[in-house]
Order: sequence, then C-alpha cells, then structure tokens
Amino acid sequence: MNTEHTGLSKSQLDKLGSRLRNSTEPANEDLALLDRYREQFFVLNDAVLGELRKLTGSGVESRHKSVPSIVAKLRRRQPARLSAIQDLAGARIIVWDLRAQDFLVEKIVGRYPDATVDDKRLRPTFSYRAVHIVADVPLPYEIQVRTLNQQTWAQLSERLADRYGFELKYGGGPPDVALALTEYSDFLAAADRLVALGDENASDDLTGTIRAYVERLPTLMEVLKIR
Amino acid sequence: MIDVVVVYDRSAASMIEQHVYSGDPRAAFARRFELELAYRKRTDVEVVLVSGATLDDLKTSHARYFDPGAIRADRETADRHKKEIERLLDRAS
Repeated sequence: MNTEHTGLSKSQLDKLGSRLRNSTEPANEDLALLDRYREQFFVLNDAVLGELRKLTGSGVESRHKSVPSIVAKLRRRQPARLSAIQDLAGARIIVWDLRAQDFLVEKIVGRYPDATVDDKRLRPTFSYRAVHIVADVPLPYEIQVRTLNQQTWAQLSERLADRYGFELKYGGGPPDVALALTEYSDFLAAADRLVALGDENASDDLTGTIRAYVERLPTLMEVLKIR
Repeated sequence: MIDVVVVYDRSAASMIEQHVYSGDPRAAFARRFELELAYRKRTDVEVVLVSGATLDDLKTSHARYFDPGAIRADRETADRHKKEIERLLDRAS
C-alpha cells in the first residue's frame, strides 16, 4: 500500500503493529503513533462520506476501528502487518434487500473503479454476509453494504461475541452457539433470496428450505438465549 | 453530521461513557485518543469513534454500542422476520 500520506514508513508501521500485537497493554508512545497513522484516515472520512451520501441518497455511517479490534486482527493474521489492514476506517450502508444491495454496489464501484469487492454473500466469513468494497482514496477505505437481514445477524453476532468471547466471530466459542448462529445466518440469507425472487418465482426447494428453518427457529433462539 | 466517541465495556456489554460532537470532528478525534490512553490497560474496553447524520442513525448502524442490552430487540426482530417469511411462504404455496 501507499504509505506516503501517513508520515510513517511501511517498516515503521509494521514494527508498530508487531509491538501492539505482542504487548499485553499498548504503550502510550505506540498509541500516539497509531493515532498519527489513523489521523490520515480521519482526514479522508468526511470527503468519502459526502461522496457516498450523494450516491446513496440515504444514510451512511462511518466508524474507525478501535485499538482492541486492531490488536485482535493483528493477532489473528500471519503475517500480522498493520500496513495491510484495510478497514481502519470505513463506512456502513444498510439497504432493504439484495436488489438494492446489488444496485448500490454497482454504483459505488462505478465511482471507485479501482476498488476491490469482497462479496461475502457468496463466500461468507464465518457466516457473516455482506458486500465489502475497499476503495483506494488513496488510503484503503472499507465500505460495508449490508441488507437489513445481514445487519440484524451481524449485530446479533457482535452481541453474542461480547457474551461468549471474541473468538465466536471467527469460528470459535461454544459449538452449539456457533452452529445456531450459522443456521440463523443461512435462514436470513434464504429469506433475502425469497424476497429478491418474489413469492411467485421462488422454487419449491427454496420455500422448503425456509419452512424447515422456520420450524427450527424457536430452537435456535433457545440455544442463542435470545429472550 | 455528528461524531460520537463511545467507551464500551465488552465484558459487561455496556456503555461506560459517550461524548457527542456536532460539527467538530477534530475535537471528537482528540477525545478518542485521550480516552484510549485512559483505558489502555483495559483490554475488554473499546473506545470507538462513529460518525453519521444523526444519533438515531448511529443507533441503528452501530446498535451494539448504544443499546447493549438490546438482545431483546434481536428476539423481536427474529419474531418479526419469522412472521414476514411465513406470510411470503403462504403466498408462495
């Protein structure tokens, strides 16, 4: 990646990433360095959000990755390079359904033609579904486009990860909870497909699958202890 | 546009503090750093900076920070989805 905008060399960044990854608590000087790096992303944020609002004509919210999330990501990855993290800053857009998602993704890619698209509907990350677009503006900026169902699942997954531990989001945690979360994600994905196809065009296979999930839902909710 | 700095305790699933800035993103950025230093020994605490048009928008897109107890709401959402899906299934059959 291009680091000339950050005021830190790639080597400095990656050494900082190493220290963050290996320390039990980050040193004040390292937090200050990280802040200096993140400031470059922050400066870009308003401009990118403005562009995205023009494209969507609706709500766009942004978030900047927290220190514990950065450290957790560095610990999960080998090699763990701070310079390779692409979602230090990002935006989230929630749309009604799959059609709106496809339409918006196309518009965003039209605006940022060099962007890379990670379609997690086709290849979910531990059952997490969405479309992520990383635009080079010129630092990497991650735009998450989620349907309402995908957002519902992602929020639930975050809350359950607070309860059962961060690893739940990455395939760990209690196996029954992880499995129930996966089934719930599959159910919501099937529901999204049903809405996109319309009830008249849905195949018997799809409706059969969804009926089976609907029957399983009370059990899933019980396992997930959502009361 | 508002910028909100949230201090969130993951192990307790609760918000510790929240600071809302309207039209002053620099102040929000600086505040986040102060809070990161203050909480640096708490690995279970996240200091998060989120931005959006309104606080209500942020409560939707980043619900976990603003209403951590809302697993209840997830249940309500699941029940609502179930009803909608059953309605679609009825129409499909």
